[in-house]
Amino acid sequence: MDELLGEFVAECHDLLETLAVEMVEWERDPSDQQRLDTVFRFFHTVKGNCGFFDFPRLEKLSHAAEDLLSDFRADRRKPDRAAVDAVLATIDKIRELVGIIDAGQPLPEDDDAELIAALRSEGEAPVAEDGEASDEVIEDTAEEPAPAAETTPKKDAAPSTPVTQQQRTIRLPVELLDRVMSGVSDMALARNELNRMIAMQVDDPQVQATFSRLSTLLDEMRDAIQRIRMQRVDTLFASFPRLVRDLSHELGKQVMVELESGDVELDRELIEVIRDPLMHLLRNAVDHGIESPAERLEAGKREIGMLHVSARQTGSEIRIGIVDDGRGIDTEKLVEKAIAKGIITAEEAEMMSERDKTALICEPGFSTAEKVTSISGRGVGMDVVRANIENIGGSLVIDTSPGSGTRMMLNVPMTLSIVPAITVRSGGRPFALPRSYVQEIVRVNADDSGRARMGGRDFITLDDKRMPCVELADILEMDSDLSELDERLFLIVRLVGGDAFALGVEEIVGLGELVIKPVAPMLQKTGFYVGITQMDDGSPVMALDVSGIARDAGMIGDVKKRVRVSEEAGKERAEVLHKGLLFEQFDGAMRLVAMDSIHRIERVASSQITPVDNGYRVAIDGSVMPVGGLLDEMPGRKRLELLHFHVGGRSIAHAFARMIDIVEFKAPTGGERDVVLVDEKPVRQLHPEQMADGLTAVVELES
Amino acid sequence: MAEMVLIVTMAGEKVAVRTTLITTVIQLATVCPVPRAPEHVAGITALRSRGMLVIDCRVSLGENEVAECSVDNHAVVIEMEGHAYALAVDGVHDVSEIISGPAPVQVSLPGNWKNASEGMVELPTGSAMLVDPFRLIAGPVQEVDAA
Repeated sequence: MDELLGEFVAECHDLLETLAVEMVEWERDPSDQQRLDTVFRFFHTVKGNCGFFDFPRLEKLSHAAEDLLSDFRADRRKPDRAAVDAVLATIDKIRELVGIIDAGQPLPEDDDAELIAALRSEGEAPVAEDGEASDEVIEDTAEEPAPAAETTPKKDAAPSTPVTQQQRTIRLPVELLDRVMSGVSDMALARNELNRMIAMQVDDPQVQATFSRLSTLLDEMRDAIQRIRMQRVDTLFASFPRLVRDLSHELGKQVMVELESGDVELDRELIEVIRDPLMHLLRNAVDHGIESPAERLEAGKREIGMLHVSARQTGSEIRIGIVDDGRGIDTEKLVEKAIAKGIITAEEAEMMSERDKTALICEPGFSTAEKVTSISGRGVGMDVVRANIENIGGSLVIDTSPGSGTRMMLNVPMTLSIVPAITVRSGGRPFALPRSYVQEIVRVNADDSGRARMGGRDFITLDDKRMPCVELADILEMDSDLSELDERLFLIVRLVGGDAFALGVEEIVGLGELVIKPVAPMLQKTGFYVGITQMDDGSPVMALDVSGIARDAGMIGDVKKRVRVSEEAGKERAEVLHKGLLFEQFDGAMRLVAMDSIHRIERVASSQITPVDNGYRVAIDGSVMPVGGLLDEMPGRKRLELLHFHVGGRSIAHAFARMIDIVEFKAPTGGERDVVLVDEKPVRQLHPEQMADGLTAVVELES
Repeated sequence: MAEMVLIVTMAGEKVAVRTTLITTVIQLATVCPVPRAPEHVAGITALRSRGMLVIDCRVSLGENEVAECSVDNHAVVIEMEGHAYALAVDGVHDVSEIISGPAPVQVSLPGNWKNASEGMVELPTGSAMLVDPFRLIAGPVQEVDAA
């Protein structure tokens, strides 16, 4: 009995996930019988099971919902918002009740009369005789597995068996998976140990061959088990249409959601972690972003606001984008508020770039809504959202253009547990840190004039830029074995907020994927560590909390320090400023490209780039595109960064040597379309269309 | 049905730890020190694929001036809130049953003993202090506050 009940509860949870989506979709397109059938079947199943398990309260509820739905199915009733609301509310109620059952508690006494009345209301309204008909249906459906079929005029509208075949699945407790996972990790460690012994003591090639086969099998198994922990991002997105529907109704707005999951899979733990931040961003988009229908019409837009949620996988990162076509973020208002709250001063605001201003929304204690609605402003601010995302090694980028919408991009690692990492040695001890933070590793000689001490801080000069640097050993209060005279290794660490600094270490021990496990709270509180991981030989290594270290070392610029660029931006506010990416080409020239024209910045392995007759091509995510910006000789780098453009339906890429800065520039007027002023210096602007023209030849020659 | 305790030596003294709280007893392999960790954290070690903190019970008990005692590399593994901790002890002895107790101690205890002990227990071999391993993990009270 208990097992059966467990099954029932689990099944309900599963079905409830998708149910709200089906209902909302059906409301939009009432001709879609299949969706309606799915919802109907759910209530029918619940009703049947409740009779069996003796949950009269649940049974009554699902019965009432079933009746209403069977009226929809039989065309006795047209869907209206009140009815759909009632069904959705019933779904919520059932979820709540099932949760209580799941927790093993008795269901509270309550007859749900209000909800049932809502489900029944108007049901009898259309024609008098229909009231009778629906009574009949109630009796029928109570006993028949194929409900309502005889009473409906259209027989084909009510298929008695499920149309869609359910995928065969089994249910497993997550702890079991974790146990298997850690078992396999243990095996891998024992394997490594054995590997060393065999290498030292065994000469027999047969033993070695068998061992290496075993080793390969183990690796495959480990991969497979990691995959088990993955879940499709659809399960996360499933709740969005409902959320948006309810919100937009509440706010009197019309919003259409477009979901594009891109077959992306995420670690299930991660899904849980990003669920709340994503919901919050969605709420913000509907509440603050999208305007009321009247406002939209006035602004010359469609009445219905569009919300596009998409997921993409790029390497070991998942990008989730939330794009709305609403009013955008009023950065001026943000600035006013920031000044009023004393976060920045008016003079500082004068000097801030647009992007810096937009980033203010993520400062603690911010809410731009003139009045706090019940939807947003529930205490969790964007600062919490950003902090949550950064905690898992992700980032949040917001781009907005007033009047036409906002784009929020969430980058998160694919899994929480396996992180590409760099292991370094400092103070004679190993430490690991996520590779994503490390932009570059540089070696600086002690006699290098590039090192300097100014104002109590050390700096190194890198590509003509001064960068603050700090020794890891100093932060962790360890004795470094290195003398002042030795050459130094620095990791160039770029933090999520854009701040960069150089972290000095003694040695790079290795690169590899590490399983980072959470560290005891006692150490987490120190702010220096995020987890414990193990080297191949099983020895423990602490994983560093890079932002914590940066904070301790005073390397995180607060808002005030972020005001360092584009003083022109303040002075020339009246003119339209564009955001541009300033970069250096491989031929040494400095170029600028408008931010808006960049589709993405890709990091690819040099091996992904192949030379063709008169140029290069690169394969990104399964599509091949021409690459400009490269010289005849490929740069001797393992990885290259490419600007990825979409031009006239084609993808092109442009390689660059390094990114210099993101700047704001005035669109050039007159004939000088190609030259813009950046910091009073002329810089040539690249236009993707022109680049595409230059590159077409390559493709055509090829084909 | 008497409750069982494991007798271990820590800070030069034989103390009792309830066996129900103990996950396992291990021989410590390498202990890798963790810079800037609380003082009573001796470092981290790994038990198969699991990394855990090693707690120096001597420091936990506030015995800062410990006489040279031979640590024989044994540690008692305790689970707390999903994390495992290895309590490094000076020696591991028998498992024994509690005859009576714990009874409150009449005198004021020095260092962190006051906080970490649950009282005196009578064992077949004599009496011993019953210590709460969770409090040992938490470390000296004043230090936790400071951290």
